[in-house]
Amino acid sequence: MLIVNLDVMLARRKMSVTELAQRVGITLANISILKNGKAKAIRFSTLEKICQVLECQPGDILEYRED
Amino acid sequence: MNKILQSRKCLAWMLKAVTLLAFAGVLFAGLVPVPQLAEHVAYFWPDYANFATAAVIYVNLGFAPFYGALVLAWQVFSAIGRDESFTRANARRVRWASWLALAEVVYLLGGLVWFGARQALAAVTVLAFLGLTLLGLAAAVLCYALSVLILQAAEMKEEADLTI
Repeated sequence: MLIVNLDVMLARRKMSVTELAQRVGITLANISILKNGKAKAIRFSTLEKICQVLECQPGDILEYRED
Repeated sequence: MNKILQSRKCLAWMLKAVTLLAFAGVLFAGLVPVPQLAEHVAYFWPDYANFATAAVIYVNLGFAPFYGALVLAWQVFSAIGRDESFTRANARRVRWASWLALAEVVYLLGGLVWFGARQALAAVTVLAFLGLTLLGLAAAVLCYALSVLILQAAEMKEEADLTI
C-alpha cells in the first residue's frame, strides 16, 4: 500500500496542516484522509501542488509498503 | 449550485407526492370499487357469490407488498432530496422492492391456483391474473437491475469522494 508521509515535510517546512490545506486548495478533511491512508487516489494536480508548497519531490512524501 | 439543490429537493417532493397519490389511490380502490365490484358480481353471477368476501380480502391483502414498496420508495425519494441518491442504502431499498414485487407474483399465482381449484374464475379474471403476474415479474426484474446500477454508482461515488 502507498503511505503519504506529510508530517515529516510539514515539520521541516515548519508548516501547519491548516496552512498546507489552504495553500494547496483542498479541505482539512481531505488532508486528514490523505494522512490516514484512506484516500483511494490522488490527482497529479493535487500531488504537484503539495510538492510545490512543501518544496519537495513526490518520493519525499510517498512511500510504498508491502501489505 | 443553489438551483441544483432546489431542483433536487423539488424533484424529491414531486416523487413523494406521487407516492402519496399512489397510496391513496390503491387504498381507495381496495375499500370502495373492489367491494362494490364483488357485490356486483355476486348479484349478477350467483355462482360466484360464495367467493365475493374471499376475493375482497385476497385483493386487499395483495396490496400489502405494494404498500411496502411505497414505503421503500418514500425512503429513496427522501434520500434523493438530501443529495444521497447513489448510496448502498438506496441500492438495498430498491433490491427489497424487487423482492416485494416477486412476492406479489407468488401471491398472484397462489391466488390463481386457489380460486381456480374452486372454479371461481371467469376467463377475463384469469387473463387479469396473468397480466398482473407479468407486470409484477417485469417490476421485479427492473428493480433488481436498477439496484445493481445504483450499487455500482455508489461504489464509483465512494471512490470519487476518496480521490484527493
